[in-house]
Amino acid sequence: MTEPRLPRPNPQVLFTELDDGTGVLLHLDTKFYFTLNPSAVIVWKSLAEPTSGPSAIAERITKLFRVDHETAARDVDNVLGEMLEDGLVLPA
Amino acid sequence: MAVTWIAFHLTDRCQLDCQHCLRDPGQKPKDLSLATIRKVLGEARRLYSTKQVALTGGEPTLHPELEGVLDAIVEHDFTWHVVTNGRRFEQLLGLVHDDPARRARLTAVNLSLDGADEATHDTIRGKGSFRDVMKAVTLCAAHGIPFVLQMVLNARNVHQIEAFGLMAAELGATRASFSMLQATGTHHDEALALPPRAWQNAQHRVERLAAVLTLPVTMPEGFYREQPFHVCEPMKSELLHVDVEGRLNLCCQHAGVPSEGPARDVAADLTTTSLLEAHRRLLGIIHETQAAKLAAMAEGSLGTWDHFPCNWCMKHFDKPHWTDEGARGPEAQRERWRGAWAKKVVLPVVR
Repeated sequence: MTEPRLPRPNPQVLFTELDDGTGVLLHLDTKFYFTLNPSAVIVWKSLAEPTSGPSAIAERITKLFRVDHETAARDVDNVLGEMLEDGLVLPA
Repeated sequence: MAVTWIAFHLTDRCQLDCQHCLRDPGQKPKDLSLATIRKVLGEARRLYSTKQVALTGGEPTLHPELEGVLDAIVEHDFTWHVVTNGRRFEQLLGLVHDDPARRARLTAVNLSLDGADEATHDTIRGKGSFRDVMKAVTLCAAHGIPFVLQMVLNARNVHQIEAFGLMAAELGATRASFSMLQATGTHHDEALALPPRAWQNAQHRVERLAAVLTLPVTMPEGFYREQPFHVCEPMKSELLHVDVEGRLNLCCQHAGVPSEGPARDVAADLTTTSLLEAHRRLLGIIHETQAAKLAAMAEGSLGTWDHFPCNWCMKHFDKPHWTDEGARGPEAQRERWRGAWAKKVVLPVVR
């Protein structure tokens, strides 16, 4: 079974990483700010890597945070779904 | 009336080459010396109990001794704000966070933003600069630093007054500010200039915007005044402006703008003259300027453009300026853009 393709960052969204590992997305059309926790920052950064899939992102998160792969995979799906709904990412 | 703030033109350095800038990018950039800043801060605190400092430029974050400047502000117990294009905001933030006293005294970051959208802003200030500002805005919001968005109104962005105000409110700015373009004396004036009535319309729109937004909306000096004898902040000595060469001069609109003959808006070199003596000489310049205005009023020689205070002063001090019917406009042409002669401008005519 092939993995679903990752959505791509909306070019109208500006990402700013903060020193504590969190981040902020600013949607330049709506002027809404979105805060990202450190694992969501990993997700966002991974979208820029063409070889990444949701499973690879989850794998990276399990290595950096104390979380099992199943939970990480579910969280990645959730955050990508929310980003899609908020227009932060565009469908692949 | 009090000397409520001191503005330091820290440097002529800038990464951008904005169309409305009065700085000459063909000149070798200068930096205001830290020793002069320290001297003036000490004198201003002792003489006037002044508490606020503004750092301007050029791009003030490019001053080679910015950290020393911030330390001097802290040592003399001033609060401060900075006007920046946002391009080096992360470096500035690093300096601010290195010492809690610097952060505690920072009252605002004024970000120059000349459009409510990327295309408009970048046309005026250069590609990529809109996103620099938005990144700085994001960092201010994330770190709880108050920020102001300030626009230099001109023909390219005047249609965005309302959108700009709304955007400032949406982004969480503490204030939106609209300045009036000053003639640069370069070919850009042709595309940026507005006739007097258009300026007055813009002014009314800003006033209407201020009435409907909860966000403070302000207009610095420069716009049309029905009453011709207008006394601005610098003329009231509420603001003392130190130019990049360490001289006390009348105001930031004039500083460094070339004039025909000696610069008559310069009071004294603060590296060799006390602030008190320089201020005394500045009062003489102000008195002479106001007397000239009164004389023009008595003669009945004031035209529409003379009701724009900064424009009148630019003319009075032989700086590049617009006048009614553009009669003296061509004289304002000056060399810029790496030595190339600017194209002649046909200035707006309003009857």
